[in-house]
Amino acid sequence: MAASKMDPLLEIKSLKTHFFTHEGTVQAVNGVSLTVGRGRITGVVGESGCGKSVMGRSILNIIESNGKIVEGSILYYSEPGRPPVDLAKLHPRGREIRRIRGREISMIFQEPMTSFSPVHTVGNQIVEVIRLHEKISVEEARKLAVEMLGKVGIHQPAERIDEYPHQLSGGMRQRAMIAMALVCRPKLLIADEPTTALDVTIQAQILELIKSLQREFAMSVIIITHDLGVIAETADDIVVMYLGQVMESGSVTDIFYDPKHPYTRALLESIPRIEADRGQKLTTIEGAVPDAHHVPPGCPFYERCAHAMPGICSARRPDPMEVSPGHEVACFLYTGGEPNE
Amino acid sequence: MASYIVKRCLYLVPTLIAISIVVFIVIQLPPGDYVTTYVMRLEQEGVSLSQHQIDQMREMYGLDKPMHIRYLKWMAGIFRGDFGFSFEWNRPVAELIGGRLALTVAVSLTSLIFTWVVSFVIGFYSATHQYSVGDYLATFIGFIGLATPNFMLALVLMWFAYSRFGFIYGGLFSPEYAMAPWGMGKFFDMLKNLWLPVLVIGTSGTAGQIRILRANLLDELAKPYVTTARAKGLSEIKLVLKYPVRIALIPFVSTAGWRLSSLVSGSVVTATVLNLPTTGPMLLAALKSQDMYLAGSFILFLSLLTVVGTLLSDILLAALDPRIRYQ
Repeated sequence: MAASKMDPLLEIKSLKTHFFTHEGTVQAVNGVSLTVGRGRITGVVGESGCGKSVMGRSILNIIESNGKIVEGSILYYSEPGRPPVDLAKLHPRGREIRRIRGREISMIFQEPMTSFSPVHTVGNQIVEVIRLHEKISVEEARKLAVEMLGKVGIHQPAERIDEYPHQLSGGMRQRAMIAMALVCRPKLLIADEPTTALDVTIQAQILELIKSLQREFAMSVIIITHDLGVIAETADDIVVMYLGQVMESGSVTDIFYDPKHPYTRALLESIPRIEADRGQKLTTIEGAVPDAHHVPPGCPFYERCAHAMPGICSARRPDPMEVSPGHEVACFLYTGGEPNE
Repeated sequence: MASYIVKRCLYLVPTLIAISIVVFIVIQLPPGDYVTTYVMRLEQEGVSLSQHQIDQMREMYGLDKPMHIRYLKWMAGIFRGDFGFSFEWNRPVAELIGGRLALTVAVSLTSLIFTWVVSFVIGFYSATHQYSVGDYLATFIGFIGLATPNFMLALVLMWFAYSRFGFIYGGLFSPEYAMAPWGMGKFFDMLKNLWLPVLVIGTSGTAGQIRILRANLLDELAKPYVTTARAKGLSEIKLVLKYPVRIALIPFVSTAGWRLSSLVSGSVVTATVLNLPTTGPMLLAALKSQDMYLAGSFILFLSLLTVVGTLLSDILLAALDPRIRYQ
């Protein structure tokens, strides 16, 4: 993809995160490779259950206790030219990864409602993260927190800082969440469905805020969403995921104007359009995402694909191949059915 | 917060007045009064009294006055520390129940703290190590504790303490101190004996509390705010203690109110086996003989314990959970 040609901040290489449950192993992330460029916004898009959230959490190694990164690497280049740290190799409870969490890489979540502790003030929770990573006094940390709350558009931040999450509206809470995530000036913000629980008007404001702060702090952002509209508004690069695998990746222009993978095309066709004729039926993708307990051996999209080639697509997994600079697609349609190694 | 506490304390006054009125009416609801039961008892023994003598006796006890006058006199006395006179025992009520209540409260409070500490530690371990060997073991022991009757446990423990350590448990005090006035020696003697009743009474509540804490903590551990705290870089133990534990403690605290009085009036069988000076048997006798001031004072104290316990748990709840404070 475009970003890989530039200076990478994060390089994920064939990452596999599995969950071990009573019903068997869930291959939530099943060999994902992607690159996040320094100072760029990468959108990760896919249907519910495609493993995009788990992928996001794998970066910080904060997956649930029955899950584990079983393979692959997550290379984090904190400074250009310096050797990277492999986050996947760090102990999930160890000191090293904890120094990176909240300071170098932050995360915001879908539910601003429940992502704050209901029994601590917003200020308490923001000051906590500052004091965890920087040796400064409570007063100084508080000043930083107020400043940051003002920056994310909360009015009268000096008063609101002592309020409890339930006293803030949903939009305000997500703003406070962003303030908490960015107060230590991280190099990467992972936003996991940051606007899904919000009204459309608030959604646009929050996305605008993330974009402007991204420019101001010159940080990288990974936006994880199922909403192609959100991606179109914010992202520079796009990664399309399906069943724990990357189907296609490229720049916004590549994906929106020249989609290659049948899954990407189907996703784009299923967006309602204002200019569509009255009575025209909305295209949907037939079937549902297969059960992650039983991942089919071939292309994961095989069963729902309109262009599936029996005997080829069902037999083995297509590897990603570059169709144009920075634009990769994992589909046999572009290899003439030949394995492309 | 301060205004909340003041407000709650002020609510206490009308609540207690209302309770005292209800208590006073209820203990006099059975037909007749103490004199009736007394005369009946005398008649059974072959002694009969003239109507004049009976009236005189009523006058002496103040039972000839209408109920509201008696109530006011009783209340006025209480403010001076005089809880009335026990007809049955021929002694002031305060003298009769004072020491007994103090001891009961001491035993109950210690048991309550024991229950809390033990169930907190085990419940916390069980939840943070779900489905581990330790968790299963705690659950197993907890259920056994839940299923074993208290008096049974008391007997087994007493036998065990005697056969293994030669420790003879005869009550809260060893015989040489039982009648002695209070002093350091008596206090230490009580501490020496206290562990057994505390263990017995305490374990009965422990199993339930362990289950409650474990279930609540497991619920809270799965909440998004825990993930947020983790993503901030907090260490596991710090974040668990700061966030989910605080919320999981809420049911713990909210049961304190009614636990306090139930511990005082606790199981009669256990109290008898352990030779504990609890209030149960005396209260029952007072009610049967219509010894109204004694019974009334007992019930008033039990109510006071419940009300104060509820107040304490409300204040603790408000301290733990701001959403309660701001309503």
